[in-house]
Amino acid sequence: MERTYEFPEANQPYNHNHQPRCDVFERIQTEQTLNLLSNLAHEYWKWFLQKLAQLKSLCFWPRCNIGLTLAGDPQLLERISQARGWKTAAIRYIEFHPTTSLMALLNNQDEVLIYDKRSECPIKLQSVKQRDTTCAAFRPWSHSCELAVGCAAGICLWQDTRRLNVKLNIRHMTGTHHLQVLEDAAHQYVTSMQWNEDGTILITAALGSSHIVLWEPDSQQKIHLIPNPESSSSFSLLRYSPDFQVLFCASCDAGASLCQLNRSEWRSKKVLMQHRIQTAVWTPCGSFLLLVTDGSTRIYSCTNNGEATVFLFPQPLWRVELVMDLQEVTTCAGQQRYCGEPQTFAMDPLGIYMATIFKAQSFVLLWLLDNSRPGAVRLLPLEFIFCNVDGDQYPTCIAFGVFSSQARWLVICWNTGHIQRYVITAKCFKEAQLIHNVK
Amino acid sequence: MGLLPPYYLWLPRKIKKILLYRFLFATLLCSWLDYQMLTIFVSVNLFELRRPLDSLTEILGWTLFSVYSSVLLILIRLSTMGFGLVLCHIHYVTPRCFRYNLLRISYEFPIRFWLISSILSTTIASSWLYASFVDLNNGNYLLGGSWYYLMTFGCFCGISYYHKSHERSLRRFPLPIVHLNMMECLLQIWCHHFKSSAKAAFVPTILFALIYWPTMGLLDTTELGGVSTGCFVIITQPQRLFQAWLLATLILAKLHIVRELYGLIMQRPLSLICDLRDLHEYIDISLFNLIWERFQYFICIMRMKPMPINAQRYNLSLPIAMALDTAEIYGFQLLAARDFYAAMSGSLCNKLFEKQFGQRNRYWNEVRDVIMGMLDRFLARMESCLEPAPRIKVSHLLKNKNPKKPGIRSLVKPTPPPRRLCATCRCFPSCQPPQKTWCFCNLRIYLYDRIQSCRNALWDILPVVPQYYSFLYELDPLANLNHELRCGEPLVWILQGLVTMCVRYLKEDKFYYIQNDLERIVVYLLKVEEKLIAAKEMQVRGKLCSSHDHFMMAINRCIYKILFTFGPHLDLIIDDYKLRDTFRRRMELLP
Repeated sequence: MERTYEFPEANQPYNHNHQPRCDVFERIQTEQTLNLLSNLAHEYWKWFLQKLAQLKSLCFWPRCNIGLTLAGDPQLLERISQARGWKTAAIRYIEFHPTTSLMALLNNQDEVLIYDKRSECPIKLQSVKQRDTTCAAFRPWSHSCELAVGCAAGICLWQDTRRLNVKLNIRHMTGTHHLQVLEDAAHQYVTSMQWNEDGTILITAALGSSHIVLWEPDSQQKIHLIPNPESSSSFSLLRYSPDFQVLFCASCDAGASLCQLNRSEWRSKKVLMQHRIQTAVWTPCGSFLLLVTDGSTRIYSCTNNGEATVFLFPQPLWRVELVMDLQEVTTCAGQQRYCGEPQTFAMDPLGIYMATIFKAQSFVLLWLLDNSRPGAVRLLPLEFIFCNVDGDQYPTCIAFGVFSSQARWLVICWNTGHIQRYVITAKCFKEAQLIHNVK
Repeated sequence: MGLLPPYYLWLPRKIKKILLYRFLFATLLCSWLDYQMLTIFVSVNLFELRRPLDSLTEILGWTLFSVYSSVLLILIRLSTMGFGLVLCHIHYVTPRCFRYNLLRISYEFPIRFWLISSILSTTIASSWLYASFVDLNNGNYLLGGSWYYLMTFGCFCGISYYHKSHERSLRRFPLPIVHLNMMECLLQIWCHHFKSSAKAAFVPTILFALIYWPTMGLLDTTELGGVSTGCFVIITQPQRLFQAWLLATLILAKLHIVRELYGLIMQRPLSLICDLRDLHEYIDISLFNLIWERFQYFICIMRMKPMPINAQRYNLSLPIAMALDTAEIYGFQLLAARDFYAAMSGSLCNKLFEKQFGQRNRYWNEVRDVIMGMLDRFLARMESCLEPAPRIKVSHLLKNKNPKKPGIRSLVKPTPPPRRLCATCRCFPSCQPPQKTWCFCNLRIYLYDRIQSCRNALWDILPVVPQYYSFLYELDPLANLNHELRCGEPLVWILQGLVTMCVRYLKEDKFYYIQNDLERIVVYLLKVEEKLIAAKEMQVRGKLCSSHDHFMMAINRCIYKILFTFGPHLDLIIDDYKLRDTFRRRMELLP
């Protein structure tokens, strides 16, 4: 604020100046007082706003607001979803069964298509309750090929009744699959889900709540877990480490928590990063988490610092390191392209390959994952995969799956609904190096 | 000692102490909860913003430093403890087999009696204490004041809690899915129940006030004008409504929290260890032992020395075999089974595979013997339940199997009811009744007609009696089977733990301790599956309990996991060629 004071001229007689000087002095004093008061009021107002924010955060403290609905805005799904253009993409999500050749696709008509190697025609599953589907997960070791689908209402758990050996009742035979809906107040617009290794517990995160829910569908039980008690934002991404000892929970706003769990006790600890995490994936050896923050082109690796384990009660220390920048990528064959911000990663079940789709590119980048050096992971760009049919197409989602003992497939879904399969045969890193002629 | 249930007396000393300490800790937390509740009620009602310090001193004087409050708080604590004891008894007692409902009702009657008395005594004592602080400032004694109102409303809340939560069946504490941090759990329970109770108390408060005050007004004045006085009280004194709502919230929240709290503390994870059970069987730990053990542990850490093995046993850790072999205390066995399953995917499994002197792994042998013994007993009992059941003929089914849902036609045409003869003319009702000309001669017929219609009306009411009779005395044909399935439910988790261990064996058991027993484990799994399928076939006779579903899902998972993991190594693991064939056939059926 500019302050301009008019001082009396020096050649003016003193007597004449006496009265105005007093006036000026008083004016200055008054202005200073006013300034002081306004500053005080401003400070007080700031303090009041701060207290108000504190009170608000106390009221919306995740521990207190169990069951309180956050803004379950489906528009947000478009921003946080792992699928590129979630709303318009013909296929929103691909999921492979962990032990069989089943593949499930979620399309934008809120249907689930289950493909089996044995039959050409997919099984179509749809329900009135199944709206705004986002993710799906096959239940491991389930005899009846159970599939959990995350949607606006909660979780739709589909069971194949043909394998259930149940007494078939004509009145209840509505189809080949039986639907069970898992619902919880405020747990709407499920964003991510994971089964534990035995398939006894399903973990889900949703837009409507700042906690994650652990479901035990067999005994119809559930509990709430708060991965980050300080923040009231919901979670966009859940990723179990391959040994099921750590759960990575990325927040919709900023940062992520890593929960230590050994099935008997769960502890939520450690917040990573200051920005929202766009995507993350664990390497199958379980020691690295590769992640990318929103708006960035850099891939970071997050790893547990092994030195901490020499202590009696080791506190896991997570070390974040830059792996590479995706601004300009040159493949091993010498092809160079601008890639930009990645949308999502997919990891090969054997941990040899990795694939990435980007927010603004029309190709898929295939990597070779080199973790032969202890304590570090290296990504070797192999190939840019383009759509094998004509037209202006971009990839929406990708996944790796095992189709036979000999081959694995990288399945790419394009925005028009075209599904492309890329066959992979390498069984180990050395073999892959030979195939792709990489040193 | 005579007051203690027999299942508690038979337990090893260490388990007894674990249960006792957990119960006492839960009771301590409950008494802390009492203070919290009292503070909330008193500060909401009596705290004055105009003179904060003075009112705070007064509040402290009335609550913490008053003999009256202390005595009442002791009463509340005792009744809460009684409530906790009944809840723990319901949780730990072994399931019983009731052939018909009357037996179940008569068995449950004393438990229900103690349950409702403990709930009522808690609510009466709590309402008494809270109500006595209501009229301290600006007491308004119109229509008997708030004391009687709050007292009766408190009792009403207790009864409605019993009706909602315990009326249908006596439920055990639910098994924890995972063990979370205790403080976080307590905070979650506290917040959740306060919120839900505050919502739940709203409607009963209004309804009770609408009934209570007009009735009191009527009784007070014995004329209809009193009703309007009652209504006037509701409108002009909303603070009474508010006090009642607060009281109902606190009482409902307390009853719910107490149950959850006992469930949480009694089901904290057990610290299972790999050790021989004989060495722990007769150890009698005390608080002094525990503190001394902690102190020794601290000294050892400071000196960076390992702790002496003997000193390690004087804590609350339990050998796996000892924890699992507690069939007499069902609730505890369930928790041990669940913790065994959790531990087998953690580091305890590695310890079980550690190298020991000699060829045998004594820890594994002990655990194996306990589990195999349990499986043998379970299979034998299932066998005895399944054997005597004769096959039901289809024709019999067709006759008796009436569809339960309305709107579905029965498979067999129902036999028409016998047509009753008309009383007046002794002919079929379709015939024309004779003209009714009332005179002295047909008075007899008239009276007879009246009696007959009364009898018919009575007859129409009578079907309620057979309904009640059939509810109470109808024999449940699957009672025994369901009972055995329920008793065997800890095996659901034990088997899953065992299979997790077997799967890990492939990578981690360097000394092949489990390999010799693998075949036996697989045979047991197949036998259990066979029995469960046989039990499922009995379903036509009645309803199987939920334990069967749990068993079926767990056994399917176990077999799938075993087949998938050991499929490629069949020839190495299984010697019996018949079993190998069965295995191969089963593998083809995998999805």
